[in-house]
Amino acid sequence: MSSISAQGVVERASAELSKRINGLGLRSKHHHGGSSSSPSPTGSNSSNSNTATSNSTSNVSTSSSSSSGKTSVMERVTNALCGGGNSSNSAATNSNANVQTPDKPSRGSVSVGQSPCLTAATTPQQTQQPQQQQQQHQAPQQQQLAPTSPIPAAHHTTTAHLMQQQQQQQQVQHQHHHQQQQQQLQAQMASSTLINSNHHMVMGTPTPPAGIPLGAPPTPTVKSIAKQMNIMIPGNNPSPTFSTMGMVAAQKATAGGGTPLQMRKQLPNPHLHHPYGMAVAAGAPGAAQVSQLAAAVNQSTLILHKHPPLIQSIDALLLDDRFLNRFFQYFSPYERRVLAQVCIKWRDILYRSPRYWSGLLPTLQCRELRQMPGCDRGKLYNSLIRRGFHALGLVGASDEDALDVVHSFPLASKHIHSLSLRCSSISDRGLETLLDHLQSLFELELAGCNEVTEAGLWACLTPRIVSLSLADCINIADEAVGAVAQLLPSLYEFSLQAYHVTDAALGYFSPKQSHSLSILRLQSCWELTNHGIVNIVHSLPHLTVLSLSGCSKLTDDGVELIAENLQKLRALDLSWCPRITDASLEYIACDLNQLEELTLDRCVHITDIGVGYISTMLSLTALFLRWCSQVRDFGLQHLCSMRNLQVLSLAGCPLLTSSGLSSLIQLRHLQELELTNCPGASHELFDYLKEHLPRCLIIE
Amino acid sequence: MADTQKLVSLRTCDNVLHKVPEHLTLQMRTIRNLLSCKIFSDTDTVIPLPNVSSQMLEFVIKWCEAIGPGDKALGSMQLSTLLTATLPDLEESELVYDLMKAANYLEIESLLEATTQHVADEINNCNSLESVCELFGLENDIGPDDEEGEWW
Repeated sequence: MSSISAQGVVERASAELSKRINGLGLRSKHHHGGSSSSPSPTGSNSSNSNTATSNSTSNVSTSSSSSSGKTSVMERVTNALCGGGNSSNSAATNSNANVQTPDKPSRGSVSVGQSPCLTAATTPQQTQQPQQQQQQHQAPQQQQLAPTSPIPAAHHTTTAHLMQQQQQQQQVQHQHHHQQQQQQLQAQMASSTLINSNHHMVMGTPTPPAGIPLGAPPTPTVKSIAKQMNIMIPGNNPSPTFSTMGMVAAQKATAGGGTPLQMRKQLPNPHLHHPYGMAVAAGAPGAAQVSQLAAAVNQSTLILHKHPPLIQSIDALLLDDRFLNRFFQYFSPYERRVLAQVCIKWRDILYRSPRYWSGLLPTLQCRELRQMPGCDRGKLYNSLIRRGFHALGLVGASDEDALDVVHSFPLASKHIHSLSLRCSSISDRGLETLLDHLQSLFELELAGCNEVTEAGLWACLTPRIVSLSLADCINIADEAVGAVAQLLPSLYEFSLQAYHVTDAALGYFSPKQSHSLSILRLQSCWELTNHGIVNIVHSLPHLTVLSLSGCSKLTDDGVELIAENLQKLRALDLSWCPRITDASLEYIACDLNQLEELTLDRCVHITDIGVGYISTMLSLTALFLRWCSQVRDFGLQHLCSMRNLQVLSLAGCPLLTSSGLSSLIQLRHLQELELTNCPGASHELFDYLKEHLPRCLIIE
Repeated sequence: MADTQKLVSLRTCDNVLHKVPEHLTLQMRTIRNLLSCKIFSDTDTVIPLPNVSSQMLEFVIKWCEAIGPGDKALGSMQLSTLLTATLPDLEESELVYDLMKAANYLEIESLLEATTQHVADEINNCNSLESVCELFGLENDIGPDDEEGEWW
């Protein structure tokens, strides 16, 4: 509603302006050919060879708002003041047309407190990528005078904005009429080139439509235009300080034919009853702004297309495309999903580009999915693809849900690369059907799927899969590992969390996987012993990441095997293995020369001696010693010699004191330091650490 | 042009004329573009800034001075800290939004990044969609029958 009002205002204003300009007799039929003066709705701009552009401009006018007409008017005015040629008009038209590609009609509904004219005029410029701005580039490069369309548009924004604030009455029915007038005006302005105004110093008295000498338009001055638009030039200085050629010429002209004051008096009084006029008069500070902008318009002959739009309010800022495109980059994808629900404008921008959604896994709660009508589900699935997602997560999926995905989500077969099924009652059958459908799938996660059996895995797994994760599925045991070993020759990453997996399972790994499998995580496999480790090191010598977290039967001998054989290890996780002692650490320190990350959480038998061994490892960048209850300050001294350490966690170590911890400032490259639950860490210590390790994130 | 004492006149929306050393305005891409046009001669040009108030311009100038002439690539967190350091009274007030607007108009990359980071943090502190809408005065106009409902 308010948008319509603003629109109407600007149109009326432009109509008014057209009358004024007509009154000044700025049309000059003989200088530009043909149809320049014909008030055809198509707004012929014959003076330039840009009929195409003018047509597009007029198209835009009819489709979106009247700003195009108005803008071009201002351009003409500006050009008039600044002394350009036909070329400048063409430049202006070019840019004008380029700026206002047919705008989405939805903009009108979106803008809050902002005229669609503004959005139409300026946002197309911004929403399209720099190419559009470059189009505008081309124009000015040819001419001396660059188009000033952004500024006039902004100008109108200002005024329109003011209008909106101050005036509410609008008459939409004038709209079309105004548009026509603008076309007419546009044509006329096109014809009135500035060569005229520059060369003809005749200060013919500008009179109301009645008596203008046709061939000799008077030089419009800032004053005259300002007066027409009922803009008061602020201050007492008779003329703003310009130094542009055009203005100098204009001022000379003024001097020649009459003082500015006389000129002003001779101008017809702007219609006081005009709501535009009244509104401006009513808002003095607004007028001041506007007049300054008018001054800017006059001065800014070479304001490049890249001049940012004039955004007056924060509301407007937050709805501005160019700004929002930047703004949204400050959020993580997880946060953006909330932002996409704020309003239509934000949502449209966010959905437009998949780059906003990288790293996010869309997880659908099947329970709620079932309540949606089928067609909506289809739309939802498709929207995921539209946003550039290639992963899908389903929680609580049953067989029907799986079938629904197969039926309603045809795009999945090409686009879904990663599937995650959690807490689902899906059976072997459903899983098989689903995996058959997802032809591009290469990453699979099954967590808490208690109906899936090993036989099911035998049936479902396809060689495409390179990353597999099985967690907390009650039926998964040794046979499953066998299936994995057999069916997935290109497996790169395997995570398994199963309580019943024994050493024998690891014997299934054969040289077939030895080349591809790099990441192996066996979490909480309580039954694993050192024998299983033997299997691992023999079959998979090229592992780079190994996690045996929670394999509580693991002892130092197993670690010795690992250290001697898996030379390529870069990350090792031995957390929650209570039987690990300092001896393991000695093996690790001796042999694992490429190790970068070592996790020893809850290894309660590790003492300072072990820490001493570790500290000789120069390749280590991340070390986790959470809840290693025997580590003392003495051990910290050793740690301080690890110059390459970037991430360190000593959370839950009760024997550490502040004085000991303070020596950690020697780790100059530390980026993250976790000291939660350290009773010895005081506030002063944290302040001290923050002061001396400015680039480090200190987690209290 | 090599004269570092060259002053650029900027007129803010409250009609006050500010004279700013040119090397500071070089950080403002808008002004830089304007000045690079040969039409402008040295002393007489007054560039109007219709949506920047004097207070904002002073903040901006302080910021430009703090950033310095070099093109240091600072991360957005660092910029944000620098913002609170240079302009401490910005913290509690709503001025940061106005500053963001000014930075957007003047196209000061570093300040825009710092302020938007600041605002982004504020959004993250919001607990619900409604509070985000409220914070920015935006109307939630997404209809219920829109393409897809909310998903999470």
